Amino acid sequence: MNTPVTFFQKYLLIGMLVLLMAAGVWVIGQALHEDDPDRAKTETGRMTTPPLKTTPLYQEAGVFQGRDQRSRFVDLRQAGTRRLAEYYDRRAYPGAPPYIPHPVESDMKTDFEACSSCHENGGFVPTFQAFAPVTPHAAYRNCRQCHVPQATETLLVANQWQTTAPPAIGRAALPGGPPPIPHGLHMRENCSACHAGPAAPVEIRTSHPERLSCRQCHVPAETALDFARPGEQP
Amino acid sequence: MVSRRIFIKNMALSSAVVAAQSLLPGVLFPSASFGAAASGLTWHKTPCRFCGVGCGLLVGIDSGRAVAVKGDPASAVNKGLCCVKGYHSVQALYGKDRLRSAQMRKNGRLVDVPLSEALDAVADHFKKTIAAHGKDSVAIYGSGQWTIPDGYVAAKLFKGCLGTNNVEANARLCMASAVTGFLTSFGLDEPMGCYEDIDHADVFILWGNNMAEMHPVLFSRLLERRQHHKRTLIVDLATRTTRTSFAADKSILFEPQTDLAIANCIAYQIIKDGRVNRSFVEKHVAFKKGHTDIGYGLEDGFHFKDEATPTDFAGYAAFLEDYTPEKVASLTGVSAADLRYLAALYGDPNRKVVSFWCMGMNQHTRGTWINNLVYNLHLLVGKISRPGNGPFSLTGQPSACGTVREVGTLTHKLPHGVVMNEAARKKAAEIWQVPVENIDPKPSHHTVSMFRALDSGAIRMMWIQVTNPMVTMPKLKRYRDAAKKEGRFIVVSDVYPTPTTDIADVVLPSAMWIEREGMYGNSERRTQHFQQLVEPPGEAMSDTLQIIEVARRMGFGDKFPQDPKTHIREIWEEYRRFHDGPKHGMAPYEVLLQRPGVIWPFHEGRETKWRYHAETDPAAKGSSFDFYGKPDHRAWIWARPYEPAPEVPDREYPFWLCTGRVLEHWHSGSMTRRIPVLHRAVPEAYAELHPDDATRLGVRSGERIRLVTRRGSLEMTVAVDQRGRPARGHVFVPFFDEALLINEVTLDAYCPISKQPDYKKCAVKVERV
Amino acid sequence: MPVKSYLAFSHEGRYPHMIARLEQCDGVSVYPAENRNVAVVVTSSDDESSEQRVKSALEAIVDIHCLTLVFGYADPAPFAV
Repeated sequence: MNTPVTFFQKYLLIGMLVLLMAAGVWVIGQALHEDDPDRAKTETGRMTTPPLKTTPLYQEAGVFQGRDQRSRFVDLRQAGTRRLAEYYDRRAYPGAPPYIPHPVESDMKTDFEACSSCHENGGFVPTFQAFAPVTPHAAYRNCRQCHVPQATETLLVANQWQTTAPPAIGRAALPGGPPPIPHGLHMRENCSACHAGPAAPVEIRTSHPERLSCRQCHVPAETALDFARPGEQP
Repeated sequence: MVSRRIFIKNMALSSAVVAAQSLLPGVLFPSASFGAAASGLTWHKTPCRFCGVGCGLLVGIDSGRAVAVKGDPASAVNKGLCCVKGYHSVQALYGKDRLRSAQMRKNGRLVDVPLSEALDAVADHFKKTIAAHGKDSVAIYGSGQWTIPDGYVAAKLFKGCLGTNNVEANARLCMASAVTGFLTSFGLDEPMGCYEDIDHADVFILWGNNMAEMHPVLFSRLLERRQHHKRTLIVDLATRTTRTSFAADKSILFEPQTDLAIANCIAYQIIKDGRVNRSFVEKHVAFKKGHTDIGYGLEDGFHFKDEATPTDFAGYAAFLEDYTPEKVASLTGVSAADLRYLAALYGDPNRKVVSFWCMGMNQHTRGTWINNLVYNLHLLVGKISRPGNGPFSLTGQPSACGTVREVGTLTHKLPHGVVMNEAARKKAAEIWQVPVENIDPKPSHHTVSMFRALDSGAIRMMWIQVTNPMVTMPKLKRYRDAAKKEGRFIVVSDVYPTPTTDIADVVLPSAMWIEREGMYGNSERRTQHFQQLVEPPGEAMSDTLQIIEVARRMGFGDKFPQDPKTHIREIWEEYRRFHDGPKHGMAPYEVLLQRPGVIWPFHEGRETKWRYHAETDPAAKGSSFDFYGKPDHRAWIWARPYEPAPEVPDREYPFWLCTGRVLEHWHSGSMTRRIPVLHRAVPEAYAELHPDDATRLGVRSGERIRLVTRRGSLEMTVAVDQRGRPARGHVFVPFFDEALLINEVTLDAYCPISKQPDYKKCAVKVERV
Repeated sequence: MPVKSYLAFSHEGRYPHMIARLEQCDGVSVYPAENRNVAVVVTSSDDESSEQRVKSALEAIVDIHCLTLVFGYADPAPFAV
């Protein structure tokens, strides 16, 4: 059946498909959230209009510092607007330490206290009008050993550096299954630092931050090979 | 940056795949469509290219390019952590202006020529120069970034084949005082302990060493030790307030050069407090004194030879009477209470003490002395050669120990022993298969003297590899003018254009780091091997092969018969023969391949982590300490006085000038300034002033000042309370910036024993522009 | 730097033709599914005008039954290396 389709019909089809997809995503979301009585309380409103505070730099608003675990989960459900593209923009390659994109108060110290006041627990930083990303390795104390601010945008000499693409996301083995971890875990053992809370890039934010045992379901992909008995090919 | 386009395309693709899967359950796409998850990324071990800490890295290789770095968790050095330079080190391979082709100067301009033509010209010029001016008119100047095979073939060609001792390396500017310090105190070079000392020590005394910036990964280990071991103390003894001072438990500032008096004062107080470990001193220590008022090497043809005169404990104690805390306090600016506190830390039998130092003590006109004086403290209290107790001299370059100190690419050295020693010459001649008469028994020029000889015309041709002396020599203008004189021929092997390639007659493009196979040796006697992981650009060739190619063209092919595929292994196995035995045995090639570094002495399959004690060192005799480096099997305590610096601030030049590094840049910056994140972090050099001095001069951060010394002047931007805070009356300037060459104004005074220049002290005038 | 991705469905029996024509377009990457007649199309162009050219090239392929936009991106990079 080779009847030509007009552009109007084409767009109609597109529209239908998009609707269908949206419906599918909604259904999946419903299914995932079925066992979640707190879902209705999710304060997505705070994502777009974060509470303004007049506290100075490094005095962070402390959304994660609830006394009981319950409030922690609610806070972890806050949604920010940070994108994965921005996340990778700050790194020379996937896994590289990001540079510091904001001015720093002192260049003279190793700066553990100053950095950790925002980046240990995260939360909204009024000075920068942004949610602070959380470090996945809070035990290291000499932050400025690896993270440096940028004093200029220009280069002395261009660099022909190329890197590989970041790990692909959402590759569950079965539809609806838990995706394996596509990156190394060294210095990134704390999953919720990057995958939960308002500073998590939206593309990789988990839908279920309350489940703290991430690696119960998500396991690292250590090899691309299938199992084979000794002496046999996979 | 991760290529934004690649990333977004990847995102676009995976979103579309997810959409397709929700519309058509079970749809499959070929896995090759999915970016890195299905790419051929493989990880390979290598030591870091930069400093002497020698972190183990895992470099990610994909499609023939280095694309990522992570710390090697299996490495005992860094345990998986790197610093910002290490994480971005692979980007140094891809600067746009990498040298891909050889260049020769024709009509005053460097023009591209085929590599073989340039190598022919180099060999030809060596032959002509030797024929016209004798064998000592040619020289090679390398560095602590030479791999072990590079340095080995250089020493073999120049000392063994050409018969000249004109072999030096920039480690002379960096480690020479540490070497002479070890040799005079212990008779053998390099630390007795290893980094594992950090995991056992209670007190860390940092002598003029900003570890938080210069050895950041080790400093993190110190901080980690303090986290887990609450009685840990870090004391920063310095002339400038730095990140290290802020992180330390106690920061003590002293006047430049007075560290000599501080060390003697601590010794005085240890004796006065009765904290001397008498049995250790009686059994294992001898007392010596040397010449005093020994000069500063400022005049051409300067010559000095030290002699050890025996003395005893009583004589040594009498010598120290001049160094009471009260007297020393007024000289040094350190309070008598702080001096007694330091003595109490060293003397406390219940605390394990490690002293760390690097350039502050080595780049010192009394560098050998101050090294001796810190060893004295550890020897007086017997805190040495045991886990958590020991003096630890850090290095600045990845293979200053491995190549310069162990292979011996210094004028007086051979891979084993010194040229003055007949047995050492015989051993070298036998392994190199050259007549023993080839090896000259007289050392020729150390680095400063070598460049002065280039000026006078005694040296006519110099081959410079992996170093940038036209940024790093003190009193730079004199030596740049020397290199540009008529009748001088300079060959430079490097990876980027630098001020040194600017004055070259021939430029050879080098294959760097993981573009070739090699080994580095770090501060803790750890030898680390790396494979070639990527192809070098254009015609770039490793320094080892460049030297072998030139040697073959000069008719020494029979001495360099190595197969290009296996030459590194062949060279390593030949070199190992020099160090056979329990005192310096090196690991076989296969062992180096498997492990993330091996500490020498490697004897009967085991590393020796702590030397000079029978429990840990198979070469030590008896049941406890055995300082077998000296013929009397004792370590030597030296009576060395305080002597002032050659140029001190006066009415005309009222400030001290100190130079150094920053965390982000490594040495002359030719690599790190081509790494985007590092250049953007610290784009240019600056002059640090104390806030009070800045107020007095009426300048603020960002404004311009002129620094004037007796050698010249330089305009720079002021930085007040940014990276560091110099003491009042001091100026600090980092030396990485080739556009702001601070070495134009530094002084070329050096330690008469080690011949290492002092970049930390000269007098300067500061003018508002 | 506009980047877009689409799902492409062909008219019945024209799937191989569609894939062949898509593969000839500049600035277009095609990822055909292994087991269904659907392909992921990713377009990437330097600016709006070249994006228009890619778009018209796609519209000119008569074998396409339906092209569904899934992902769109058009934001100039800050300082790219």
